[in-house]
Amino acid sequence: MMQETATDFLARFESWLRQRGEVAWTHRFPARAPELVDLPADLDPALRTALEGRGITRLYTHQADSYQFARQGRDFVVVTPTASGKTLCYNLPVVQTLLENPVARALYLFPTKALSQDQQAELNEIALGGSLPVKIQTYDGDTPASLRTVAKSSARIVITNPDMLHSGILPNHAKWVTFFSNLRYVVVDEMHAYRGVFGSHVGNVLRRLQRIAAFYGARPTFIFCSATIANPRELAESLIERPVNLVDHNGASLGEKTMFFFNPAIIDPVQGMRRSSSLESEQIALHLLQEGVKTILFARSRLQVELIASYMNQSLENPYNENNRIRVSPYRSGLLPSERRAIEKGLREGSIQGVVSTNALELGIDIGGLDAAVISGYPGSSASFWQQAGRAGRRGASSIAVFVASSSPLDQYFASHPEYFLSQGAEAAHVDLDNPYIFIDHAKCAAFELPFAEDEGFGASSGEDTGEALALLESEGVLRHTGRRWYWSNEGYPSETISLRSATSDNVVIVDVTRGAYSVIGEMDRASAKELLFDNAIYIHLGRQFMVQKLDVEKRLCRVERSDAEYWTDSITKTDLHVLTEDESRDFGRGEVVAFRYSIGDVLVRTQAEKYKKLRFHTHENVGYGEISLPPEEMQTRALALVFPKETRAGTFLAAKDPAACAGILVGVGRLFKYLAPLFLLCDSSDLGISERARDPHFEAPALYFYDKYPGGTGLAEALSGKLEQLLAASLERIKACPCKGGCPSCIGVDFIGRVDFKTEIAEFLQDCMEPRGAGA
Amino acid sequence: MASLKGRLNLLRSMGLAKASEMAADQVQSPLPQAQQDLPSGWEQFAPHCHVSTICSSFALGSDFPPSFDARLFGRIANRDSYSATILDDMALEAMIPLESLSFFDLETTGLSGGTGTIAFLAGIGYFESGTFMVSQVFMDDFPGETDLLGLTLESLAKRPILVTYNGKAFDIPLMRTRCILNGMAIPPFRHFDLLHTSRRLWKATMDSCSLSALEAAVLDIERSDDVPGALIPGIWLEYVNSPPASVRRRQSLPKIRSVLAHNVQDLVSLARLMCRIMAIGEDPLHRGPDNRVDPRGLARMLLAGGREEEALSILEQAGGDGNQPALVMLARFYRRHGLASKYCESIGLMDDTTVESCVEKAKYFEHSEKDFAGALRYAEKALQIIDSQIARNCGQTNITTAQRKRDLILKRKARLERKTAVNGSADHSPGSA
Repeated sequence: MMQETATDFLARFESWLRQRGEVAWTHRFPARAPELVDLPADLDPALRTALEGRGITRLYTHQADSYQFARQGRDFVVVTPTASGKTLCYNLPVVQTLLENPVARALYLFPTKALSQDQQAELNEIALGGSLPVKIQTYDGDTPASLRTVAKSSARIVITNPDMLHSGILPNHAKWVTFFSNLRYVVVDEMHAYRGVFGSHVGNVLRRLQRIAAFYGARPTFIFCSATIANPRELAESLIERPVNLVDHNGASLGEKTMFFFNPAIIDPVQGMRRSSSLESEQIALHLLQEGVKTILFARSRLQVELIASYMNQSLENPYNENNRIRVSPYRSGLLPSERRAIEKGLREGSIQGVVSTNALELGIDIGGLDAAVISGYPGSSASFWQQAGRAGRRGASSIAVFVASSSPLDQYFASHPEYFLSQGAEAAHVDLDNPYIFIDHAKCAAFELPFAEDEGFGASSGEDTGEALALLESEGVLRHTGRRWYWSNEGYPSETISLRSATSDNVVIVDVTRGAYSVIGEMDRASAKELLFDNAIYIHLGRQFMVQKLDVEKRLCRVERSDAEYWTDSITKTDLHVLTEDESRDFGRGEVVAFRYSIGDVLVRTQAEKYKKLRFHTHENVGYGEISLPPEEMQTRALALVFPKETRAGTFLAAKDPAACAGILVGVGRLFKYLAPLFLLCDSSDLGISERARDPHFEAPALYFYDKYPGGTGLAEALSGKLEQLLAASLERIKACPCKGGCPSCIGVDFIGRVDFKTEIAEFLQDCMEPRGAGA
Repeated sequence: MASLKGRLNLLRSMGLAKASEMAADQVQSPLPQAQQDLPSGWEQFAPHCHVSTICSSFALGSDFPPSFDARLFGRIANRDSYSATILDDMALEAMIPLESLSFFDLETTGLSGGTGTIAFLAGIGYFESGTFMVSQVFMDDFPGETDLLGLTLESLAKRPILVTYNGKAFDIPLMRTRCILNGMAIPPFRHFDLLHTSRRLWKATMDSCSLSALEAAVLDIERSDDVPGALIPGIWLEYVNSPPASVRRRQSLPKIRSVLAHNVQDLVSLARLMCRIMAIGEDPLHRGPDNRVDPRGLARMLLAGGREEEALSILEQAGGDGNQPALVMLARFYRRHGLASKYCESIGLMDDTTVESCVEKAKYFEHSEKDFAGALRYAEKALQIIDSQIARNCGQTNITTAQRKRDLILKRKARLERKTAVNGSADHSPGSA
């Protein structure tokens, strides 16, 4: 990647970083030699030739182990860091089996469409490179009708995603008779993506898949691949509800990787304000690109991705040398499939040197040849972080990862705790297949696919439990229990209304109508559209700027026109919350005195974008406001409310303050909780909504609400209530460790300027929440 | 973590489901109550399956031809994976006796398909000595499905050539799915889907080619008290989900009876439509002044049946009346068959009010006359027309088709501009002088 030695370059780069800001710590991961074994003896000669054609004459040990398990028909999960030859772990045994048995079929499941696309390209290379008679077909929303027939009838390997399996394939299984009757393998790649709500849904989709396969007399072997998480075997076993073998010794070679933890310079010591992490990331990525280092920058939101990519291209603008022949492209969800494909190709072929991405690229798309990853802000989990860091250096060459800390409390916590960051290992991923909402959703779909027999259990759940759920559905009027079976007894098509991910089935189509044109340029889920595509909003798409003419929420249509405004827009949303039920209320506190109360229950959350700010490009200064008139979004979910009545210790503390101060304290605590929660729960801080009330009308006392942003809740509220003690302690530690004077983005926020004593007050309040003052250390 | 059962109870108490208040009302016995629910003439075949056969009011005149030319119905490209195996072996066996047809229509629990949609009523119509008969198989609850499917297949096997309306996309795939799920084999059927034929004949002149639209416009049938098709799934589900002998069940009965009648009506209309199309095919030139047959569609139908001469006179007749699309089709036919004078003549009859006629003229001037400037004028004219169409229809679904057409015109225009430029600089072409 450079003429000078790698070590020299790293030293030069580090000193450049030190001039820009603070390098909190660095860490070097050493290179490692590969462990290789011979190709399996029973390999078909044609397959052997195809492999040798790609320069593969020996296998890494984990590939060989995988081959053995798969060929014995034993379910297994293989844990593979990026760049360890993962795909061969399943392609080899699957293709070998398909060659031996001319009717056998395999299903490959990838969490995203882009991944399936990449996989098909790779498989075609193996299959066609050796002219192997194995037909491979992707089956997803983009597959044209003519190829869908191929997938159903003659394709030997069908590549799809859980959503398509859920709403397209399983509900129409009778059209896939040949496929299901001969299904030998199910490959579940990127298993770590299947956690939380999405994973719980996918686990239920797998229950349905196995139920249908069994109907046609097939019992496929499952092969899971996962990035490093704490509990791969447990997750795989939860997903298919039976024992699974583990292959976790990685035999691949590893290139040296150097990680820099960069903390942007403090520009206002009083407020503890640091330079923006996204602007700093942009500068670092630019620097690397100009040094000839192919770089990927991970930003957290779609908007950030577009802004950063366009700023970078502007900075590179130079008509005399074609921008140094450096091209940077944004890559995010909401782009059309063809646009994504073009970017992936550009990266592979080298016409694009830099990419700015959301986590769409975090999963293992093989883009190849990247030397550095710049990560703007903590992506929410260490599994994601290492995936992103692993994007660079795929070919065993040395590589760089730069983590640019944002001012969030979590990032700042890591800046001062490198040992915690490096040793925390991966989080455990959990799914809950028996989440009652999710279970009910899929019981419906399963009944639609095939009537339930009298004592049939759904997945591993008992016939009795399943019967309960089915009876519930009968009382809803969608099932009929007769003749010892449960029949789907409704006109609807249940999977159509059940999204495996939140709110994706309800998209607004974005249409460019500039100068009488009428072309679709993208889409966005309805809830986000209300916050990003309101009338007169500036929408940035692949670096081109549009102004929204009209958002028609009812018709799910947004008309936009090219624009060249000097600003971008950011909506201000207001959240209302209404308590529906109080299911569980408890006192919190050790000793005789109750510190505060908390309550878990159902709430109705109403979010409304009411106004928007216009922010000037580059300087981000506010240049005006506008009104938004759109109907609110409503959602019923679960919430945890911390309640501080006068008679509790923390309540007494608040009662002595004026209402404004009381609200301020709650805002500060809420912020700390929101950002530190991912330390203890596998969730993103954006999964958690907050509402603070100095005088809550329901509890008639100050209250602080934490609600689950997934409709119906996913157990976050309950889980949070079990972690209150740890959260309180971590919050207090953060506030005490923060060098700022009166609050900053890295602790309680910046809403407290002018009240220098606020930090102390919040610390005292937290102390009161935990234990009597003076009793602690 | 709490047990699933406990959590489900929590859900119940939280009001996801209103607890079933009619549980007490629910009787678990499969007694054949339903027999009393059906009109007279119905017989019980199996515990949940009932049959009826009636003589409809429709009969053929004594002079009506007893067979028809299958080729008129053409080979219609189909995208359905099943129909490929079911039809298309129509081969060259041209004349098919009317009495070997089964007119077939299912009533189902949903219109969106998928394995959770079932057929609860199968109607089969057929001609017996010129009279149109209708057999129906009805199930009063889910367990009756195997019997319904078995009886239906048995009945179809007697006259194994199907006539349906949208059966290729709907009824037959659904029937096949149901058979697979019940472990039954469905044999291949030969199949005429009149939706495709009707679209060919009437699409250009009618807003909708639904069976009910054709009934009104082509067959002069007026239904009274008919159930809209979209309500039918709900009616049966309401019937079957209501406890036997309950008030709800009683209230649903008249609606079930109208569904049975609706199915008979559909089959009668299907048979009448078949006869109407046969009559048009018998004497295409005298099809009456009032009908709305699109001359182009009719010409295509005749061409498929090898009746070129009649097809061309239909088009010439329509062209003489100023039907631009017919003239365009005529011109294309003559052009492809190298009949230069006829080609020139039909071009001469065209005006330049439609995109297609302008494009056809542009082709004529470019290739036959080598008058590039003239051709360019027509290409520009075509562009103008399509632009105004796009502007008027902005937001409609056919906009992409229009865009594609527009792109093709743009390409043509660009090519003609190049050609006129080359010609213009080399010498003055005769056409532009």
